[in-house]
Amino acid sequence: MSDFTVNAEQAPVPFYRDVKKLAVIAQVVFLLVVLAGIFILINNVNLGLKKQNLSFGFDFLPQTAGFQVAEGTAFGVPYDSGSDNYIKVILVGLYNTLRIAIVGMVLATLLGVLVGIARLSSNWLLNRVALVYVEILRNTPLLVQLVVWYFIVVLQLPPIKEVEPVLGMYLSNSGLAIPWMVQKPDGINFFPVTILAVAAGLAVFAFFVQQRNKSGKPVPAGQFGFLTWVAVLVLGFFALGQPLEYGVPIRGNFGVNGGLTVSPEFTALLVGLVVYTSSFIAEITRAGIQSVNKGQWEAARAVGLGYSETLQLIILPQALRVMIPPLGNQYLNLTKNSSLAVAIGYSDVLNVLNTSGNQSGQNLQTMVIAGGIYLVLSLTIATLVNAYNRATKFKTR
Amino acid sequence: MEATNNPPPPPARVPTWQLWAKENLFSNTTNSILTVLTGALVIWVISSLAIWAFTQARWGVIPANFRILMTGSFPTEQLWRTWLVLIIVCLSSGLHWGSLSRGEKLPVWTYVVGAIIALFALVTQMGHLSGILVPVAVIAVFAGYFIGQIAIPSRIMNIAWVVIFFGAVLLFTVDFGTGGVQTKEWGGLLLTLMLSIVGIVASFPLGVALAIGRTSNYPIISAICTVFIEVVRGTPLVVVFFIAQLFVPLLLGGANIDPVLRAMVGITIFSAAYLAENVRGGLQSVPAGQVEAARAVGLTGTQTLLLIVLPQALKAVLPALVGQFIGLFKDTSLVYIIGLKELAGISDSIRSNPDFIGTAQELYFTISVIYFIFSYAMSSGARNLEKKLNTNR
Repeated sequence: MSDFTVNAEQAPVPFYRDVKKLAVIAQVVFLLVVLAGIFILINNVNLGLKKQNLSFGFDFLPQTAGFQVAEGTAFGVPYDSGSDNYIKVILVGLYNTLRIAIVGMVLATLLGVLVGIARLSSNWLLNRVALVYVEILRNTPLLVQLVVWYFIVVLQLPPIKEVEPVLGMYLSNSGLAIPWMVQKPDGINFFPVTILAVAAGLAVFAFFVQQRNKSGKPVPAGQFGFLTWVAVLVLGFFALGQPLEYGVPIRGNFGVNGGLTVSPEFTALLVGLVVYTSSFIAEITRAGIQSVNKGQWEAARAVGLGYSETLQLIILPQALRVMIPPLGNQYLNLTKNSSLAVAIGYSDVLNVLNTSGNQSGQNLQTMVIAGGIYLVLSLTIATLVNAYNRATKFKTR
Repeated sequence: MEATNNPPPPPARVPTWQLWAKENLFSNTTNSILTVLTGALVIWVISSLAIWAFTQARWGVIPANFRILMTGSFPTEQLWRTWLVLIIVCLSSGLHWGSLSRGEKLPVWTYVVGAIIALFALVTQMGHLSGILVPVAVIAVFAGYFIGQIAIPSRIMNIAWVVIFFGAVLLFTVDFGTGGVQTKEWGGLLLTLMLSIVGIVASFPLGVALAIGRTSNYPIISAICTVFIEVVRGTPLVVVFFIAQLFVPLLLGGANIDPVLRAMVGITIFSAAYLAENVRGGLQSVPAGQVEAARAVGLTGTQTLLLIVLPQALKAVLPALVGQFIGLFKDTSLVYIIGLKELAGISDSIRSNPDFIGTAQELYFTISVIYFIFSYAMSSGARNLEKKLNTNR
């Protein structure tokens, strides 16, 4: 050992043979090359924009947008195309994107898990039908499916005049109308309360999960979370002086009034996204259930549980641990895929930004904003899924 | 006396369809109800589809626009280029398939499918010369199969495909004195295929490089690669396409780049980021002992990576890569949103033609079938390949 150190002192390693120094030099060179590349590209963009008498700035955002948006509000605040600026119209688009993404995630999960269970059914016909469903949906492009849902299914529905209501709901070629608690025109914006309720519910859920892990005693964390959510909604409703009213859709001459009405574009996009994503979730569910040891089924049957009890109490909770990461990926995909709304004209955030870009001539900036918004959405979903994954992971000590 | 004490042997289980139905469809009450409900649904779907297909659908729109669906606005007098490439690709597929399945007999269904395709082309004569050239292509597949079984090692075919790819790109563009073809004239299925193939070929080296960069021990390189991968993966492909349409000409100082090339740049960058994540999974699955052993026998860092780590990593993630390629193939339909005329875009144009108003169902049904055949073939091909490559049996 000492021989080496003595040698090293006598003849110092030249820098081009010192691995540590080389590593630093290589990285600095790489960084400089990347920075130079970025600089040249930005310079090119600026030169190119100058040629077209444009500049890269965001000054247009506070200007009046001046175009109509078919549906949605800026998180509960109505949008007025005559006076509101681009920031507000982007918020309307964001609200529409979140609306379709969240409703889509819930419905796609329910449908996907059902189809996944059907794939494993001992009933031959049912599992073949589920297989065909999954294969057809997974092997054709979502865009084509959306176009089919919109132009061939939803727009070919009978007009509102000829539709008979089912349970107070109207489904026609002008969209879907259902009875719902709707904002009173003069009421206080209830939207923040719904967000607060979800946040409170999640916080309570996380807290009790932590308690459960600490004490090792069974705590119904899910139920507590749900109750908190309901309680905040009810309290908020009365605290803000009942800003909502129960609305029932009533057929008029040109459409329906009252209740919750969604456009045919929303209906087609929602159905398309839910059905497409459900085929992937079905495969995830199947893989998850198959990953649970067969002994678990046998043990559950041995202690006298029936099929559905075994599935609900024994198999699915264990399968869920395997399913959560890929499921989170599907939620990400669903959110990003909602940008295909452009193809059928639903006013999601990308569609609104695209229109804003054409309107103001600032396409570059609006697309950069779009990229940024989707990036933030993706990172948020990834963070939430990771947090949930950590909370429900098997604790091995 | 002893004989009577022995119970008679159990009756032989004769597999009859009644027994099968009882076990698989009507084993208990719930199952019976499920069978009846699902059966009713299946009958309803199939019968309404059949009624539509045989009585209401106006299939005339497909043969009338067959050439446009396949090649878009590819100049008619230059169509020999696509036929030539089609026949070469068919021949090479046959050769490759044959070289991979030495000593195996061709399954009967392949003859049936080949005969149906050839007969169909002969009878319908859709498009330019297809009555002769489609049967030629089918024969090329079979001829290739038999030649490949005796003469061609499969390793040569891997090189051949690279040559064919560049040859095809040249053949689809270069002017041989009788007028060239511009990429903006590509359309229909041809554009769909070229976008996906160029996308996967171009994104492969970039994706592998990004994956190596992300797993490297150098923090700055790893950080830059990670940021690039995550930013692209967090952005929807439509936005990437929009940005590519706007940025690519500007980045090159206002050069005039055709929209098809811009879409290719977009799809390459997008696909590279996803490919990098798949390859990274493979790189991490290679045991550290492999690297240590390689270094111990005196391989340099680069040699270890190229000869030891990468081959194992890529083999491990092959199914994921095929899955990604299928996704890419389906995702090429998004270029419809930026106005290119691949399968989905061309269908949209055809159905807005006053002569073919109200034929959306027929068109979208047809292109869905085309997409399905390609995706399904790729996924079953991948399953076979996986079995062939599995050396741990």
